[in-house]
Amino acid sequence: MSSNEEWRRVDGRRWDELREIRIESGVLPNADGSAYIEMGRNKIIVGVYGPREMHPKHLARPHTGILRCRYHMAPFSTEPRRSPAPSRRDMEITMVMRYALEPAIFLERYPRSTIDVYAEVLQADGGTRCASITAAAVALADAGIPLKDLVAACSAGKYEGRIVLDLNDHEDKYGEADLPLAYMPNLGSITLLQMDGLLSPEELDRCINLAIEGCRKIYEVQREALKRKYEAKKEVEGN
Amino acid sequence: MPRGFDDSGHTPHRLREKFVYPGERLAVEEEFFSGRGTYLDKGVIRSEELGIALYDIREREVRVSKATREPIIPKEGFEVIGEVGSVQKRMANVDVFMVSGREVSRPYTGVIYPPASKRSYRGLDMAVRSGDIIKGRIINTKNRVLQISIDEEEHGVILAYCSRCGSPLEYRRIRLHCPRCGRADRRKVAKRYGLEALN
Repeated sequence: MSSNEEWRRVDGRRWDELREIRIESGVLPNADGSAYIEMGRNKIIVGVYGPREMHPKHLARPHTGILRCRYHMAPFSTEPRRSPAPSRRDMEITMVMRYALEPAIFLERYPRSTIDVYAEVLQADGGTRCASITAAAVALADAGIPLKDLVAACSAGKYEGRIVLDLNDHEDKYGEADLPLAYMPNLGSITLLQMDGLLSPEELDRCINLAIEGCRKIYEVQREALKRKYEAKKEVEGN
Repeated sequence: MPRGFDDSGHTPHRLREKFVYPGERLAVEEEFFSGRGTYLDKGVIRSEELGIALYDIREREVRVSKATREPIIPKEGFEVIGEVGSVQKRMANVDVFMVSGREVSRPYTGVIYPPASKRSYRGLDMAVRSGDIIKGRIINTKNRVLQISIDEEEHGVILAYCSRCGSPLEYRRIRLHCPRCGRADRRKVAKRYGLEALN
């Protein structure tokens, strides 16, 4: 087996290399906050509404707000075409997104209200749940919702017997394990940890540490995206 | 010496300003008080906003001025504009679509109750009608819906439609008149009837 430094993955990346990421914030004028992310061949758009009145009203909680998420893959996002109806997987990722983002939001400040997050996957190539969480955190910050920290998400896993960062669709399907992780870099808290496949305890530790490193790099891209929008806004106001 | 200025009288009395992101560490609680736009996490003051952090040395306070939009949270005392739904003698439902001059993405539910002390109108069904646009003030937010008062002079109906032909009514003397069919109606009319910006 070649050394880790020489070895290249199916898309030519090193074992600890992220796919190319581009994040833009404030892309939807009709939403309160929004973000668009391209992570390799993944393309996802996220819109945030709220805090606003909860409908149906019986779901409202008197002492806290509620975060509602919707993850959806467009019919044209995969090959072959997929049904536009929400699948079991869509519902799972919807729940996972909510769990990953909830710890970052001061929901107790918005009693009887809801914050709605809609993520639409336009093109999928593995790791869409992590990319959706990353974009949703930027969209929440863009909506002016106070946050404890930004949430960055990234996966690590095992492919051809090696621990790798940010698995793509091929590595996800044919690899031995996949571990998506969401992380608040300033607070050092993990808000989501899932695992699919088999890893030894040592490999699990390595995967977690690698995914955290990946999240830190993604966090820098999130910051840049937010700063770019702020600077553009300032420039417009200056003129 | 003016507040916020140092001995020279020119330099703003702040240590520094810097662009910060949510969660960024600003100071520890032994150094500064946690001001607006910040929160305390195990003795560390962190930003909860995307914006500019201001360190006020004199007040020993660090705060963050927001660079993003301010979420619309209806609170007591805020002025609201909404469309009247069903009307009864003692209660009228309102879909509030503007809070403090800002349009909301989804209407809030509000109710108007008749005034407790002042009786400028007998029942609410005499003061507002279904479909009217009203301006009022939030007086209570505790009971799931926004409780709205239209007692003040500048509050009340700001736009009404004819109950016979649907045309917008015009305010003449003390009544609302329909320019199309000539019908006259009574309402609790706001001072600036027909002059409020609705978007």
